[in-house]
Amino acid sequence: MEMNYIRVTSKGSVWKMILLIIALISIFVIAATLINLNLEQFFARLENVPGVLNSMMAIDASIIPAALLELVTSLSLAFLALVVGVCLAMILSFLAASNITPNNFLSSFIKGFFAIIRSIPSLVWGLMVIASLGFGNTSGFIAMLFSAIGYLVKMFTGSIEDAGYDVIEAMRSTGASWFSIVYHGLLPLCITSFVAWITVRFEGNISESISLGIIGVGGIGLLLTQAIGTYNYAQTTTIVIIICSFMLIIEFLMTRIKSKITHGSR
Amino acid sequence: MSNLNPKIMLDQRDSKKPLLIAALLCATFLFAVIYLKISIVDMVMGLPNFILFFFQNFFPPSLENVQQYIPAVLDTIGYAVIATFLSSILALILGILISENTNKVKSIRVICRAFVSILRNIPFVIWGALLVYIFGLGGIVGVLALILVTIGFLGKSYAESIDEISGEKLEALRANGSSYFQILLHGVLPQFVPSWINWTLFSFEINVRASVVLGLVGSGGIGVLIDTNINLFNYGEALGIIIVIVSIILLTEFVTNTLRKKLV
Repeated sequence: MEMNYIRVTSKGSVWKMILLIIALISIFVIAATLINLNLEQFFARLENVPGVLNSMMAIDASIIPAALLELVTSLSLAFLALVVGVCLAMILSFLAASNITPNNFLSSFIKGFFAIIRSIPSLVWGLMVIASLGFGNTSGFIAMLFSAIGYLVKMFTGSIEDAGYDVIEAMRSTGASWFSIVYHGLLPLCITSFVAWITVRFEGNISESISLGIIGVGGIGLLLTQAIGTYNYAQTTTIVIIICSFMLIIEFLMTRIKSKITHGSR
Repeated sequence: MSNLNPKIMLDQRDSKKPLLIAALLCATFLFAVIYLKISIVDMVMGLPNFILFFFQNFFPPSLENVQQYIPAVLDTIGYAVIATFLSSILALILGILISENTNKVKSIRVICRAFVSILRNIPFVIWGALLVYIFGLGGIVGVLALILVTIGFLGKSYAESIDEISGEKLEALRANGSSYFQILLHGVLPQFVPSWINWTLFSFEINVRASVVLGLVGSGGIGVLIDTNINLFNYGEALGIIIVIVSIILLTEFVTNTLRKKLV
């Protein structure tokens, strides 16, 4: 008997695949030619890299206490912006969620407004706030507030809208006021997903508050910028290691809180 | 039965735990305020002050020089496109190596997972600053920083999606005597494609934003223009650029959402 070759993928999907790959490659080539990267310069500099990396293979333990104190600054900034952001975002998203909003116009206004706020990166907010309030922790707080509220309003509104109309209609038929529908009906329903979003945002806030140091707000990011600016290789490496391990711990903690809450072990 | 207490409790939850959490949060909040030496007045007035300053100085935006921004805008988007392409390929390899479904060697899994999580956990601005430090200013630094961070993000997400593919189908293929690459090509990849498209589009959105920001630390693109204009007190011009950025980001979101609906 003759062995037959069985096609696993149909002819049509093979052609589709080839077309898709050609399209993707051409997008890549167009992008690569548009941005005209200076590859020669890059390869010329590549020769210096081993030297730099070699000098970075050092740790300066004397910076650790200062770095930890600054880390607490970054953490406090992130926490402050988170708490205030959560409070404001919660009020705003109950006004914006389409199933409970007191006014449809208000709902679309809040949603549109925060879509714009959200699309401005936090470091750009940082630059604008620093220009008006000067360097310092207050500026960092305000800058992070914008991106935190922007993010939380979107996520909270989504969770509230997922709760649907059932509870709201049932409560409204008993004559409950807007506030008691929100407080006794929707809040208990949504609180778990709220907390999940808050943990995600807390991680984001911390990485933002560290990043904001680069443009001059306080915290460990500023310390790193200073170390980089003075070509202090050992300090740079030490601070980066501290940042990375701290972020790993935070990621681990937040994942644990999230899974504990969503899997309901009370 | 007596009806002396007409009030019906709406909440039957344990009322002590929320109180405890609230007290803890308040204490941490106070500690943060004191540690940062922020006065409450500054905190409360910061936002109104900023908004006032914003309307007095940044307004009206100047959009006269929009044409001059076009090369910088193209650079910014180009970096994001190239970084997304390269990192989605590299992250796919890492994702396959991390997932238990496709890699049975535990030591390799652990090493790859650790590598990806280090990439992911250093904020991308820090990557940018470090790479500028090592390579000097330039667009390639931006692309490299984006690639590193995106591999970190996508590697984890891809691995989780591959983990979710049910083992049964793969086992059926294995029972047929399929080789490892046949299982990969005909078992894993076809089921993985929808989430692959989803995650990659999502990372493209993130990359466009990150690419804007990386300009601030010296890796080319439109970000650096905001910085220079604000430093020169050209606030109207800076707001013009910010408006351009907002339009790029909103447009990107629109495009990725359309693609997502069409493809998935």
